[in-house]
Amino acid sequence: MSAIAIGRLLRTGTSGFVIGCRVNQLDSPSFGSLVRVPLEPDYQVFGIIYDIHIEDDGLVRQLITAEDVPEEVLRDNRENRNVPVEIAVLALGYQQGEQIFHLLPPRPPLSLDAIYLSSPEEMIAFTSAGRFGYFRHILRDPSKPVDELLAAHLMTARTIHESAGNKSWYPEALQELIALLRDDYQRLMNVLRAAGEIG
Amino acid sequence: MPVNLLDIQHKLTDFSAQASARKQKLASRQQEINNLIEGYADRLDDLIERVERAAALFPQLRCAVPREPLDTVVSMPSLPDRFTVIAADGSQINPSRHARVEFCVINVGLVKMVRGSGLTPQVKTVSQLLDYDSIFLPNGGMITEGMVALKRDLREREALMEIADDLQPPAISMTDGPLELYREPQETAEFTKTFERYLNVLQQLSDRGLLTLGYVDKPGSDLIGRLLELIQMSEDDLRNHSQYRRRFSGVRDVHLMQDLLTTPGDRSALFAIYSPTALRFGRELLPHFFYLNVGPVGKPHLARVEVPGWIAQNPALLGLLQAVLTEQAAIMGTRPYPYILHRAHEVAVVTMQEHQHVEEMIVAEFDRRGIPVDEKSYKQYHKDLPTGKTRYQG
Amino acid sequence: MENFSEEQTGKIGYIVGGGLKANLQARLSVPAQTVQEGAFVVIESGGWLFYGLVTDLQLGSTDPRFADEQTGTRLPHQLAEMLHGQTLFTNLEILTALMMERGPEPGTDEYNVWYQKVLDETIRPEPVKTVPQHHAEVRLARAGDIAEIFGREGKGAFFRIGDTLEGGHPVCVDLDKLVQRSAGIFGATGTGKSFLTRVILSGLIHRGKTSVLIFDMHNEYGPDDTASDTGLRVPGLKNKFRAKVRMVGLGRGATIRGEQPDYTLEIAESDITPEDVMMLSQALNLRETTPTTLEALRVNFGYDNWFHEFKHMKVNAYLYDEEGKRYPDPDSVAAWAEGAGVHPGAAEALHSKLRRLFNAPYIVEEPAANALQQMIDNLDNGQHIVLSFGKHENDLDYLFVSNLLTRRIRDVWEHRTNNFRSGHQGAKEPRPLVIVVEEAHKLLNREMASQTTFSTIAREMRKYYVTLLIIDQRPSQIYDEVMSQLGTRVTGWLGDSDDIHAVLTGLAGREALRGMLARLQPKEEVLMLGWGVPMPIVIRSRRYNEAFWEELLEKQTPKDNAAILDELGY
Repeated sequence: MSAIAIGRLLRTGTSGFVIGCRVNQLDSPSFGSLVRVPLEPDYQVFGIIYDIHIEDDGLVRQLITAEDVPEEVLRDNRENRNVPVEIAVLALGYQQGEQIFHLLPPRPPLSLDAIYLSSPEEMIAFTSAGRFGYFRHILRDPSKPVDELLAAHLMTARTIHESAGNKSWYPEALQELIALLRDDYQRLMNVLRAAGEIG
Repeated sequence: MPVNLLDIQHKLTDFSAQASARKQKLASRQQEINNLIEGYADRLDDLIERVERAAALFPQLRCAVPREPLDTVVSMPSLPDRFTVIAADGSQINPSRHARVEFCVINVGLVKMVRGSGLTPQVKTVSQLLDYDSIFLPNGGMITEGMVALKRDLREREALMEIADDLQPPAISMTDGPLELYREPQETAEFTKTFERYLNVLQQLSDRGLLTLGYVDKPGSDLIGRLLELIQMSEDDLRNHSQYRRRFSGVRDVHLMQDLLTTPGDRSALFAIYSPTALRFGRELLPHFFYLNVGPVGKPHLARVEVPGWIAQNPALLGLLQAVLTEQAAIMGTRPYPYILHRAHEVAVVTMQEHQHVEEMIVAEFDRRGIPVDEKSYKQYHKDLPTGKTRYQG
Repeated sequence: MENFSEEQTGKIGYIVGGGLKANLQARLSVPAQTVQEGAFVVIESGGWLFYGLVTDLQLGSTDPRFADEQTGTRLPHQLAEMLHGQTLFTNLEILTALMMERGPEPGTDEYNVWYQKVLDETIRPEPVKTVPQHHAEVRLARAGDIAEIFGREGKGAFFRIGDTLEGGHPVCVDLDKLVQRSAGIFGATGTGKSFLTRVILSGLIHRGKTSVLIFDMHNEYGPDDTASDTGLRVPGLKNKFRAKVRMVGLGRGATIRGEQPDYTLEIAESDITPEDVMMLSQALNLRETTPTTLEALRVNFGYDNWFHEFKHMKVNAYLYDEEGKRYPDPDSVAAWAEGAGVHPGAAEALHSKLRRLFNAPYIVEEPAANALQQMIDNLDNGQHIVLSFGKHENDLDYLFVSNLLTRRIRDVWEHRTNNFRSGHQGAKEPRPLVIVVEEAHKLLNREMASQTTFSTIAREMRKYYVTLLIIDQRPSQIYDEVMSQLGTRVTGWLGDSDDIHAVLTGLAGREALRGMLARLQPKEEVLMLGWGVPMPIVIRSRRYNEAFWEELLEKQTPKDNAAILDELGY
C-alpha cells in the first residue's frame, strides 16, 4: 500500500482531478500509472496519470546558480526533498463494493486523503473488468497526449498481465483500440506506432 | 472591492517627497556615525565607560559593547575537511477563536549535514501539540502569538539536542534569528519559566560541544548606533534618555559595516549585547554579535551572527564559524543564505493542507469522545471560501 | 435422412448492406481467396434461409490510407496484421434469388412435421421478397442446401448435371421441367457444349419420359466419337442405349461412320412445300421474285406435285420452228413461265438455284419406305431418334431437312394434341418430344424467324408437346423474340458481349450475371439459369466419361468427384 502522496486537491471534476503534492524522487509516480483514490469505505475512483508537472522549485533554481554544489547537498535534494509536483489524473472508472465499472465516477473526489499506486492485482482486476470500456475516457480528449498515454499504459499492463500468465490481454487490448480508432487514421497510427515501440 | 488606485496615485508625489527627505536625513546621520566610528575606533575603554555611566542612569538601555576596535576586519580561515552543521527552524499554528477547536502546534524542522562525508543529510520533524490548558491564560484570554513564538524559539533549541548524537566535531548548530530572545517581555510566570528552560538548553548545547549561533539575514539591528549615540550625550541627556526618540534612529548598523567587509568571509569587530535581557544570560552565555560578509566576490551581503560568550572568547572558533557560514551561504548561489537553515525552514513549514488535517484529526477525536466542537466562525468561514476561479478542465 | 457428409463450412461473412433491387453486400470474415465469384451462399436471418450467388468481390478499407500505406514495414508484423484485420476488408456482392423457411431443430417433433412438408413441397424455396437483417450470417452452401433447391439426385426427375464450384456439391436439374419449355445450351466453340449436351441427352433418354429427336449435324451424338483434345474415345448414345436409340441416315445407302444406320430416311418430293423452299432464301440466295414463282407453281401443280414437275422441267431447251425461229420447249421452264404469267428469267433463275435440291440424293419421288412414319412411330414408342446427315452435313441440307421434318412431325403432334384435348375417342395424350438442333443461329436468326418451324415451336411453348433444345455458340444471332421464349439456359464461357447479353434476354435484372458469364472458366464452368432452374448457379459440369455411364446405367450410389478422380488414377 504505497501512498503516492497526501496532497492538496487543486482542481476536480467528474472526468478527473489535479493534485498538488510533494513527492520523494525515489517513489515518485510515473506517467501512465494507474492510481486509485479511496473516497468512501466501499467506493474508490480509478484513474491514470496523464501529466506530471514539476512545479518550479525555488531552492533548486537557486542551487544551480552556485558554482559547486557539495555532494551532501546533492544527496539531500535527491533523497530528502520532496519535489513539488502537480499530478493530473484522468478518471477511468470506479469500484463500488466488489464491482468495477468503466464509467465516469458518479462522485469525484472533493477532498483528498491520499492517492495510491495500484498494485499489480488491482491493475489486473481493473483492466480485465468489462471490455476495455475505460479506453474511451483516454481517447475522448484530443488535447491530452493520448498516444503516449496509451502506449505507457499498455506497456505496464502488458507486463503485469503476462507475469500473471495472461498472454491474451495485450492483443485483445490492441484489437479494441484498433476498433475504436478505425475511423481516425491519424490517431490510430500514432497510437500504433507508439505501441510498436514497445514491440 | 479593488484598491482605489487613483487615491493612491494622488498621494504618491507627497509620499515620495517624504521618503526622499528621510533618506537624506538618514544619510547624514550615517555619515555622522561613520565619523564617530573613525574617531573612536580604538577608544574602547572610553566607550565602555560611557556605557556603564549610561546604564546606571537608564536601566532600560540597549546597546552594543565593543570587544574589539570598531573598524576591525577579520578574514576567514580555510574550511576544515569535515565538519557537522545542524539547523533547526520552527513554525507554528496559532490558536484561533474563529476556528472549530482551539489548538496550538509548534513544528520544528531539523537538518543535519556532515560536510565532507558524502552522506545524505538527516532530516527530521518534531511536532508538538501544546497542552490544551496552556492555550488559555488565567485572565481569560488566549495565549498570544508572541508567547507562542517564544515557546517556538525554545523548542528549536531543544530540538537541536534530539539530533545532536554522535557528533562529528567540529559541530555547528544554527537557528534563524537572534540568540537573545528579544521579545516584548511580559513578566509573567510563563515567560520566566520558558526563559529559564531556554538558558538551560543553551548550556546543554554548549556542554555537548555544539557551537551554537543565531543567524540574522537583512539585519535591522542598530545596537552600534545606540552605542555611539551615547558619546555625545550629556548626563542630563542620559537621564532623560528615551529609546523612543533617538538621535541616530533609522540608521541600521549594517550600513555602517558595509564598506568595511568587502571580501567574502570577512567579519566585523565583535560586540557584546548590553540589555536587561542579555544580562540574565550570564557570562558564559552572554550574547555577542558580529557582522559577516557571506556574499560572493564583488557583491557583499552582510548578515549578523549572534554567538554565546564562550564562543566569542575564542577567535579560532569565530573563524570556524566564518568559514562554515560563508560556505553554507555560497551553496545558495546568487542569493546567499545558509543552505541548511533554508532546508530546516522548508521542513518546518506547515501548509494549509496540513493545518486543516490536524484540525480534522482533533475534531474527529473530540467527536469520538463526545466532546462538543464549535463551528467555524462565519467570519472565518467566509474568509476561507476559495476566491480563485480555477476550474478542472483536465 | 441425409446422404450428404457433414461439411465443415462455417460462416464466411455477414450482411452489411445492399437491398432487394441492388444486390446484398456482405463483409467477408475469411481470407478473400477462399471465396470465388459464383460461389453459392446461404444467409440465415430471422426464420428464413436466403440463397444467393456471389457476383462480385470488392476490396475496401475504413480509410483509404490504410490500404495505401505500407503499414507492414512501419509497424511490427503482429500489429500490422491486427490493424489490417480491422481496417482492410473484402465485401461480397450477393445476388439473392430464393428464400425458404428455416425448419425447427432437428430431432424435435416439429422438425418431423416440417420436414414432411418439405418433402411434400408445401414448404419450398420461393422467390425472394424481403431482405435478411444486418449482420445476418453468410455461409457457403452445403450439400443439403443445394439439394433443397435443386433437388436430390436420384429422386424423380432430378438429374445431376454438375457440381458447385466450392465444395463440389452435386447440382441437379429437373429434367421434366427442363423440357417443359424450349431450352438452350450455349458457349463459345470449344467450351464443351457437346459434352454437356451428351450428358443432358443421356439423362433425358434414361429418364424415358420424353422422346428425343436429335439432328446430329456433325455426327457427334449418335455414334462414338473421339475427343479432339484428349484423343480419348467418347461413347455415343447409340452405343449406350442400344435399341432405345434409333440411328437414322439421310439418303438411301447412307452410312454413319462406316456403320449401317437402323434405317434411312428419304424425302418424298411430294413432301416439299413452297414454304420449305422459301426458308432457304438466304442459303440459296433466292430472288424477291421467288414467292411469286412458287405460288404460281403451287397453283398450277398443287402442293404435292409442284416440286416434281418443276424438277423435271427443262432448261435452256429450245425448239426451232419452220422459219428457224427459236421458241421454248413446251417442257421447259420458260414455256411454263410464260404460260403461268411468271417472268421466265425469274423462273429459270429459281430453277437453277433449286438445282441443289433437285440433285439431292435423299429427295426422291417414291421413297423406299415411309421413314417419316417410322420415325414418328419410334418416337411414340418411347424411342429416340438420332438423324445423321452423313455426307450431307452442309448448311443447306441441314436447314432443309431439319426444318421439313420438324414441320411434319410438329403437324402430327398438333393434330394429336387437338384430338386429345377435344376428347376424341381413343385419343391419347401425345408423348412429349424434344427436338435437338445445333447451329441454331442458322435456323433461328431474325431473317428466318418467321419462316422456320423452329421459331413457331419456340413461341408456342409446348402447346403441342413439342419443345426445342437448341445448341449454339452465337446466341446474339438468334432472334431475340425466340431467345426470350427460352426457359432454361445453360451457358459456358462466351467471349462476345453481345452473346452474353443475348443469353440473358428475357430474364429480369440479371446485370450482375453478365460479369460472371464473362469470367467463367472455359471448359469447366457453366452458368445455369432461367425458367426451370430455381435460381442461377455456376457449376462445374459433369464429365461425360465411362464413370458417368457407370453411374447412370448401373445405378451405383453417386460418388463425388474426388472419389471418381481417385478411381481414374488422377
